[in-house]
Amino acid sequence: MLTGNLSDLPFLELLQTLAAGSGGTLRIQAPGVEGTVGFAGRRVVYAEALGLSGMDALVLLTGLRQGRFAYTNEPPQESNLEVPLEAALTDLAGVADAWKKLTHLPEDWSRTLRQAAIRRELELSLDELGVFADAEGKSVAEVLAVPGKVLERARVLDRLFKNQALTTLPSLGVGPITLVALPYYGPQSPVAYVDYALYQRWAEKIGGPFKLKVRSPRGLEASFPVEPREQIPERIMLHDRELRKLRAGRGTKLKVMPEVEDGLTKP
Amino acid sequence: MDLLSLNALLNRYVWGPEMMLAFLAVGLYLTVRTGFVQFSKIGIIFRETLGAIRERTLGAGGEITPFQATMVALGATMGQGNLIGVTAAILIGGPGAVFWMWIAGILGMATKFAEAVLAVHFRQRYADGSVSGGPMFYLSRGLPKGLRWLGGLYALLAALAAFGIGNLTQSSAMAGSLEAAFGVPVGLTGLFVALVAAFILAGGVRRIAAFAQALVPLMLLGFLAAGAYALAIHGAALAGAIAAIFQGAFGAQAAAGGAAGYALQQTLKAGVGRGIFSNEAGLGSAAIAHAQAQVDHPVRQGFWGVIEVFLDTLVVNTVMALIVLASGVWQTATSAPQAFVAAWNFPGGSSVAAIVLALFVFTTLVSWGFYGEEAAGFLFGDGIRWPYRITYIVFAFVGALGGFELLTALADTLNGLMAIPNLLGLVLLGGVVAGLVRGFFRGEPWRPPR
Repeated sequence: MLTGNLSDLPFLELLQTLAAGSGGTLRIQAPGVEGTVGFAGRRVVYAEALGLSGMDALVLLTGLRQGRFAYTNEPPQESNLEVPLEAALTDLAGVADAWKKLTHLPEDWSRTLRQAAIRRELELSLDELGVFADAEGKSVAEVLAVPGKVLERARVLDRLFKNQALTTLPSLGVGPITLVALPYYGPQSPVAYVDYALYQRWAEKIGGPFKLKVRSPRGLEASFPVEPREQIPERIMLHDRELRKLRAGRGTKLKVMPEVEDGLTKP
Repeated sequence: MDLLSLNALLNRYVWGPEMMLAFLAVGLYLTVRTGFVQFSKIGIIFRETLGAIRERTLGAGGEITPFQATMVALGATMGQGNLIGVTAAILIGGPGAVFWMWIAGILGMATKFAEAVLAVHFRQRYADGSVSGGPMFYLSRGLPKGLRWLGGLYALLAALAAFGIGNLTQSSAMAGSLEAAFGVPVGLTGLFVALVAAFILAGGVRRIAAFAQALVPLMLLGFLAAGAYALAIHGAALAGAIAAIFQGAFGAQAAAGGAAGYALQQTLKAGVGRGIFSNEAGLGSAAIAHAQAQVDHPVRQGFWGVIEVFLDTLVVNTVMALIVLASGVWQTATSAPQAFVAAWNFPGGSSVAAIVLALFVFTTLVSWGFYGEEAAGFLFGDGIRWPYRITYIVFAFVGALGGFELLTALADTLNGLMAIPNLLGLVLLGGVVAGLVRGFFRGEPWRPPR
């Protein structure tokens, strides 16, 4: 068995090292990405990563700059590719060069993307606008994992980072969920309440203090400190005035995502 | 004194002016204790209920959604009283009765609000997640020890009254209406009513709620559409009808006849009576349905109580009253049923009226079946539920055949008597309601009693 880290032995060099072997399975575990590559003789017969298969998976894995790998002689059980290893290495050499140019992409692909507060005029292409709109709340890996478009998405993301249109937060392992708004009244309070069970689940996963980012169907956003409350499953309770600021009311479906600021907590 | 005479005496008392005054006084008291909730929070009430109708299938911590609970309650309250009862009130009290009906209805909003709040606050939660509540629970759990027997008394009265107000009367009215309009034999109507009611009641509160959620809004919208059409036909007389309500409210009409004092009394009595009894605020029955609602705070269900009265008295009753007034039938008809039929005297009108009446009384029959069952369950435990259902269904069948005047009269009195323990409880628990309202509007979470 051969094990190591991609930060010491990048994916392409790892493939070159394995070219001498007679066959086996390479498993990769990187932040936000898990992948498997199968070899039979000097052929690559299987590649899978984050729902992508074949060359798409290899392209994605080539872009990883960190992550543990383990190679065993266990022959691959499935096949979704039939490429001589030399040909794959040649193709992926170009891909690796392309990845190297994307210097603004974060190394940790598990990080959660956030649209930045843009305070200047910014011209975005249609592609950039599409990714920008789609990225909120997803991990970097999720945005990249589009069949046939991995590198294209990576380039767009890189440009968006370069233009500071996107930022990232540490991954909390919890994606955005939809909760139904329920107002509360009384003295103005910035607190959001969610059901006790949901709060507990988030608190256990996150392991530290967190806030809630709320997005209304009209695209308005706000962050709130969060506290648990009994008897409100599938609901988020916000002060009536805060709900109005979001142009929402009782019954409005809100996208809700826990978030922590960088350095505040252990993700 | 024989049973009939005793019943007649009691009936006069429980539906008489003294009790009306008690209803109004309690409504006024609760209006004050709740900080005039039906006025001061009217915007919030509409936003929380009709304004949030999109979430009618969502709830938490009860058996059915707040919307469903309200539809069950509304199904019970909307019945003959909204149609023939309103017509009768105008025949007796003139157009001015409508004004006093509104006033009584507005006070009734606070009463119904308090009933729904207390029903949720004092409801009993069982290990399987189901809940039971209503006046019998808030009286027995909320009142001082010496008065807790009032809960049992209320349950007894409700379980028995359901056979009259909710069953025999409704089944008979439906059979009569369908026979007159379409020639449907009363036995056939009885059989149909009994079978459908059996199917719905057998499914428990969830099936009753699903039925009410589907039928009551349709029934309401259907009535309003038919009412709008009827009013359009009598459009020219509509402004005059509205003016007559305000002119008649203080006896202007009667003054012309030279008996101002007596006429004003009649107007007040007829109007206030309708404003009180058509929405059942004070009888406590609707609280049994509201108790089932999945809500995070009792006050939120109280809002639905206000809306229930609003829809029943200020919307449905008003539309019916305007049809009767604008059509002019109230000046010529000699009886309420005759005037009701005459008011819908346009092509297809009598069929629409018969269908509307049939639907109104059928939903009342189903909801009251649930009320009676809950009350019987409170007294005798869950084992009584099926025997009660079967008896109720048999009554629904035989009620259509008619001839149960004595039973109906007795049940009518029992129905009126339900108000006594309930009104007393509402007064004694007014402080609890006020506390819950204060807490809710301070953003405090609800803490149910142990």
